[in-house]
Amino acid sequence: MHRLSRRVGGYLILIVLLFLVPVGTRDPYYLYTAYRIFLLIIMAVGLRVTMTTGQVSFAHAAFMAIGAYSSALLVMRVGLSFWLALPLAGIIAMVVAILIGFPILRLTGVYFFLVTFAFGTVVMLIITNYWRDVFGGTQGLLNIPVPDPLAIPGLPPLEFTTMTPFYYLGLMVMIIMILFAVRLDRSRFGRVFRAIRQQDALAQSVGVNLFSYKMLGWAIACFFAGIAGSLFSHMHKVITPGDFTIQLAVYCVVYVIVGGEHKVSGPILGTALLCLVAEYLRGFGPIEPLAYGVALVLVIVFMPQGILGILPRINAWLGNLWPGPSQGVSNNDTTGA
Amino acid sequence: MDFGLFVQLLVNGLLLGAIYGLVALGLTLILSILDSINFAHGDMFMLGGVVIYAFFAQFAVKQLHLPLIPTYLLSMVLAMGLVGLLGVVIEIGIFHPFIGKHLQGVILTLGLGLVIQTVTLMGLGTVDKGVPSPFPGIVSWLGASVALERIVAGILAVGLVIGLWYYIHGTKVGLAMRAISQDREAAALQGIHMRRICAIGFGLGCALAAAAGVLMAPIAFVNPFVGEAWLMKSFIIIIVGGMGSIPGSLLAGFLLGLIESFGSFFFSIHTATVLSFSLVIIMLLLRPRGLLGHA
Repeated sequence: MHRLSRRVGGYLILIVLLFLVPVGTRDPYYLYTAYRIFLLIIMAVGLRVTMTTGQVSFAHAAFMAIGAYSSALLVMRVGLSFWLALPLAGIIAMVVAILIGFPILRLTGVYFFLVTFAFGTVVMLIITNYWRDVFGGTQGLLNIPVPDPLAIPGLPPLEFTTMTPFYYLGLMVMIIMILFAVRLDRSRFGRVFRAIRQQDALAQSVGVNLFSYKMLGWAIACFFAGIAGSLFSHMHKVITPGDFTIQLAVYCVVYVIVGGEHKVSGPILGTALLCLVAEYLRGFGPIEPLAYGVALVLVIVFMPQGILGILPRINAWLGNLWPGPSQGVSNNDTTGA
Repeated sequence: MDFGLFVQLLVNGLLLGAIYGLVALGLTLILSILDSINFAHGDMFMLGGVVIYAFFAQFAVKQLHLPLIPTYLLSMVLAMGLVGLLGVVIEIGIFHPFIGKHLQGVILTLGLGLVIQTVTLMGLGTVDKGVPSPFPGIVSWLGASVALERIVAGILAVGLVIGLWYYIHGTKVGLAMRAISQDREAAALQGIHMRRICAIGFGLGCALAAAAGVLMAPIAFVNPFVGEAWLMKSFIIIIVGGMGSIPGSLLAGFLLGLIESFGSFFFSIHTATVLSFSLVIIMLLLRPRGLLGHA
């Protein structure tokens, strides 16, 4: 109990610090970078949900694009408020995921990677080359409106004119999505997901309907991507197909793998760390993909459980300074966070 | 539609399909022997093109003024050898412990692909590089006119596939490969040298991709990212053709070539790609094991 409260305390301090960042700096560069990392964390945490059932998707960027384009079009063409378009973007991405899920979720392992890779490419191809009057072709969509001002009782209305309100928007949505993911992980569904991943046939033999659980995980993952897409489009105000490349999809997988996928904190750590490193390396030419490539190889060869796998060792080394678990993480504990 | 045009589209489709088949075959070979997908396969294709650009176009032809055709064929052997060697080194050095571990294998090769791409980008730059055609000219037949280089490329691709077929069905190493693809443990119990066969298989798969890159270099162009489209096409082919089936890969390669040839004439190249992906979805719904795959 003591350890739990200490851990929750640690997370609370972290959240309070994150809330205080715009007080310390109003530099749009830092706030923008933070916003981007929040979105990628939403993506990676979402992707991890379907990865826990053993299905790794290389179409995650395409589902982010589906969310981004549907949210922008809902606001620009239909005239909906951003606050309605945000959840709808997630739901639209989820509906597309369910439709395509019927044929492709029968596949497992490598075959699933292949078909999601192809699907992601085809979605981007369609957005780039068809219905140009709707999707805008390679030019994409311009002049996407920012979110409507948000009236919070007791506070002045939040106008989305500077980076600061976007920072808080991204942070809030990210925290909600992470809490949802943690809750899911600790629920019956989360346990079934892990069972499927470990022993497909065994889970099936005790009466688990594999297909519907895989579908559930897949739909939730794509919902996350849609939400991230919507947040992306209304902050950038311009979206083009080039924002959602297959490379982004690959990076999302990288974030989860490098962080470690057996807990929600894995993708969060992986995304934050790799994004900060990439941001630092940006000045040195095309070294970012090289660094990612080397990181991937090293992690796979030397750290099979990602950063999460070496945390206990760092923890022991620091003398239990880290507010995380202090014992082995490989035994599939149900704590999730 | 007049007959000449039909013949032209048919021949173009089949010739392109032969090269698609060749690339996909390399991937199929690795999949059946190592039970893993090589996500750096497209980059091996690209490296084939880079070798032909660096050695054939820049060095042998520009500097030494060597005759085109023999140099081209020699460069092809060189490209296959170098890339094949790279494949062997990768397999022995890092890949071997991850045989059969699908996700790890994919992530590892993804990482390697990123490294290969970036290193090539640093050496080559982003500008598309052209390679002179060793077989200039156009062949006219039955009202169709097809570039000679495409015909030669198609014939060489089919020749390589036939060669591979004989290698797999006629040599002891090929027999070992087939044994491993059927049952890994049983093959090991029979005394098959697993490490050696796996390394040869991986190298051979990469060499085939490089050969296709060499064949495509004069027809298209070379840049560090050409491999991506080919990787995706190989994925489509091996799903449609049936995982691990060599005739299936070739058949699906031809099918994809024809869809692209006719699809891009009647609609557009994008519609052709969407059509070929629709074929994947239809296959998955109707016949998940692929055209010639076994359950």
